[in-house]
This record gives sequence, C-alpha cells and structure tokens, in this order.
Amino acid sequence: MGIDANLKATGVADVIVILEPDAAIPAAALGSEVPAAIAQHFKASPYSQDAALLETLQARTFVRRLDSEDLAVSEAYGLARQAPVGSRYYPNLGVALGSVDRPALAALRREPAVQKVVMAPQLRLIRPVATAATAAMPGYTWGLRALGIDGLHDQGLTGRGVRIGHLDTGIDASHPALADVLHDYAEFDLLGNRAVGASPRDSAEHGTHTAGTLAAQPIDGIRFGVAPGARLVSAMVIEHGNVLARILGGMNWMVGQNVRVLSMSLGLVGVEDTFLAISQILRARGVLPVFAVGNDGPGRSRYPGNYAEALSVGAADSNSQVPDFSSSQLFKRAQDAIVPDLVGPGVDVVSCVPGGGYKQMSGTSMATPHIAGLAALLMEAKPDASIDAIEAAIFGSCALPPDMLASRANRGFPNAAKALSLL
Amino acid sequence: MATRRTGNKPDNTASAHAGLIDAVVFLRPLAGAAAPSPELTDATATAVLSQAVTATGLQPEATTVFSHLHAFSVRAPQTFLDALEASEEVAQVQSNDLGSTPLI
Repeated sequence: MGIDANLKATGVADVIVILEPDAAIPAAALGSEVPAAIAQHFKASPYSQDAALLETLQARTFVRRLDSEDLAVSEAYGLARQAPVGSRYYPNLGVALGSVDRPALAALRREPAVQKVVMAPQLRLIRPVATAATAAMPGYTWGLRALGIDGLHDQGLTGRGVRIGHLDTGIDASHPALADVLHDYAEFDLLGNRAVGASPRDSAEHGTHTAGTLAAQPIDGIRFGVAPGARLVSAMVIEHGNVLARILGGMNWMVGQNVRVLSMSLGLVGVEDTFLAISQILRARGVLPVFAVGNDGPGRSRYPGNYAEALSVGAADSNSQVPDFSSSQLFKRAQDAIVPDLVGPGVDVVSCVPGGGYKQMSGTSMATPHIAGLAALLMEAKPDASIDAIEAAIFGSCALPPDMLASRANRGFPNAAKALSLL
Repeated sequence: MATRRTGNKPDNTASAHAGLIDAVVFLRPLAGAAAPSPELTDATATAVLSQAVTATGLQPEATTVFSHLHAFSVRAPQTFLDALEASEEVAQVQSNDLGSTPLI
C-alpha cells in the first residue's frame, strides 16, 4: 500500500525519509537522534506508545518485502527489522524513519534536506503463533467454555444443516476428529480452475487445526469443535505464491456449494481493496465472511479482515487479555472504524493436526474459526435469520472485560447464549 | 477509473517466461447492494474478452470466469491486459501474485 492509500485509510503512514547526500546535518545529530529539521514533522506512532510492547516486538523476528531499488532504502529496511519504532535516524545511510500525517508529509517534502519520502516497509511477523504438541484432555477447551459453546451444545445446537466454507492449507480428513465433517474438498490451479480428483490433504498443519476448531467431532470426551454438526466445504488455496485466482476460485466454488459462513484465516498486511467487491458480493449472496485480522500487533491489520464488510476477529487469551501479537487498527471511516470487530479464543488453542495428533497453536487464525463456528450454531438455531442479523447478534453479545481495551478488542468477547437470545 | 496493478512482474509459471501474465479482472459492480447474477457475469466477461481480442488482435491463453463473484482470471500478454483495463465494464485488473503468503 502506498503512502496516499495509508493516509486515506488511517490518517498516518510510516515513511522513510531519504536525505540529500550533501544535506548539512549538525554534528549533534550523529547517532540515532533524528535531525530536528526532520523530527519536527514526525508524529507519534502506535509502536512508540508502549515500551513493553516495543521490547516484545523487537525480540521477535520480522521479515520484509523489498519494493525499492534504492540501496539506502534497502539497508534501512534491514535496520527497521530490528527496530519498529516511531522515529529513528541512520546517519551513515542518510535516512530517517518516522510516522507522518498528510500535512507533515507535505512539509517534509518541502524540506531542502529531503531528497524523497517513500513508504516504510510493512513488517511481517513470521509465524508469531506459538505451537506445541499436546495431549488433548477430555472436556471442553478453555475457548469453547469461555464463549459458552458448551451451553449451546447442551441445547442440542451443533451447527447441523449448516455448511461452513474453509479456505486454508487444506485438511487432513483422515484425522479421527474430522472423519465425518467434510462435505466437499477442492484444490485449484493458478487460474482458479478446480483440479480434478484432488483428495483431502493438508500442505501444512494450519488448515487441519482451523478445521478442527470449526467442526471437530468429540472423541473420548475431547471437545474442541465449535460446530460438530456442521459440514465443511474446504479448499486448499495458498501454495506456490500466486494465490489470488486460487482464493477466488475457492470462494466462487463455495458460494455454489451454498455455504452460509466463510472462515478464512488468511490476509495480507495493508488496506488494498483487492477483495472489497468480493466481500460485498459474498454478503449479498448470504455468506458471512469471518476473517482473521492478523498477527502483526497494534497499528497494523490485514486485508480482507480489516474491511468494514468483514467480521474481523482478533485474539484473546484465557485471562481475558489481548495478546500483543493480535492486530488492531483505527481507520478513518464512519462504519467499523476499529478493527478487529471482536476477539475470540486465540492463545493456546488445542485442535487437531495431520497424522492424528493434537497441537496448541496461538494466533488470530485460531480465533477466527471459533467465531465462524458460533455463527454456524446460531444459523442452525435461526435458519431464517439474515447474515446481518447473525452478525449483529454476535456483536451485541460482546463484552469488554475490565482490563481489555476497546482499541485492541473493539466490542470485546462474545457470549454464545446472549447472542442466541438476541436473535 | 480502473486501478492498474498488473505490471510485468513475472509469475512462477512457465507461461510467464513466454511473456504471458496471470491476472484477475474484477468487473464493475452493479449499482446498489445486489449481487450480479452468474449469467450476467458470464455474459459480461465474454463481452469484455471479445472486445479485448478485437482491440489487440491477440487471444488470451486461458481464462476462468468466477460466475458467483463477478470476476474472471486470465493469462495473456500485457497488451491484452491493458485492453481489458480500458473497458468500461472493468473495475480493476490485479496481478495474481499478491507478493507474499497470506497465511496468518
């Protein structure tokens, strides 16, 4: 996303300021202090407001995408990997990093010492999700209990008759917990054509884990599937890099399979409108898009989860805290200015993995199928309810625990019984 | 106005090395909240592709229409994609390569 698009969406943009080679920088500026002529234009960045969060983020590994041919910018990108800060100066490179609003951007570009201003890298956390092999324990997982899913199961609601779309890395349908949950499975070529004869499989663990949270059957009293009576329409869509046509191929196929909710734990950093019209069409066709907001921390989010048209899901832990990896962002728009819309269980989530085992994983990817599964339970209970009504009931059931900030969790954590009562 | 996003960035396909680009074409939405019918999408995609063939004298190597989503994918030379983008019926032409894995 470019500077203009970022300013339009959020009001601020992280930029790299490249100074003129012969710019006269006072000796006092040598070091990491941003020259005053530049610093006066920088605004507070979300990253600079929480020292503890900064330390946590800095301890992690980031990857970057190099879009620039400029060596100095490239080297700054490398430095930025180590320090996602509000502002910083690299005198040996002649560049500074900082956040600007639109007036500040214009002022910076007028500064004689400034050669050009370019968009700063959009940092991507590499798999911030923690994973750990685990022995699944009998009973409901903490996430299902916290949402009150056990109460809806007690009323006989399991998602029966509801098809859930599941776009991910695939699914190991031979896992005992997933033996009967698959309605159909598909893979797609690079232009979005359905591959002939594809058998269910998972190219990683991600898809099987999210599928388990959506609809796993109880086995030996182990219960981590939110909607075990629902059936999954599952597609592998994200291998080999060129994914847009395959994701659309999967969505298109799922609409034809009459899914009522689409759970998608995928997204890209920024606010491109690539999936905007598609998200609007999904809603118009009666499909509720439930998308993960991302694992990039505060001040960042991923599309399509950050569209107002999506039900976007962040993560919470068992202590009603929003983990620092869970994305959140404030947008300049009248509708749904804060993303995510709500948070769901996304830390130490137990579900199934290929090969018959179980793992704990953490991430907004894990929170998303909890909410999509809840939507399926409500759709079974009220089959004539529109997706807008289902979404409104889930939103209306949310509450913010005392220590949970609205800026991080928006409406807060849903309650299944209350959501049902609102329909 | 259409947003041009196709570029010449090569895809990891054999066709990319032959000068062909994989892209997705988003057709212009209907006014209001209604979703276009699959039949309308099929007809519009066919018409838009036909116009581009006439304008360029080129044929796309392959296309896939997403009837439920008012969009289609195409593998074709840049010139052909430029002609598609110029169509009044086209809202956006987007590279099939989103730049990184979307796995969260």
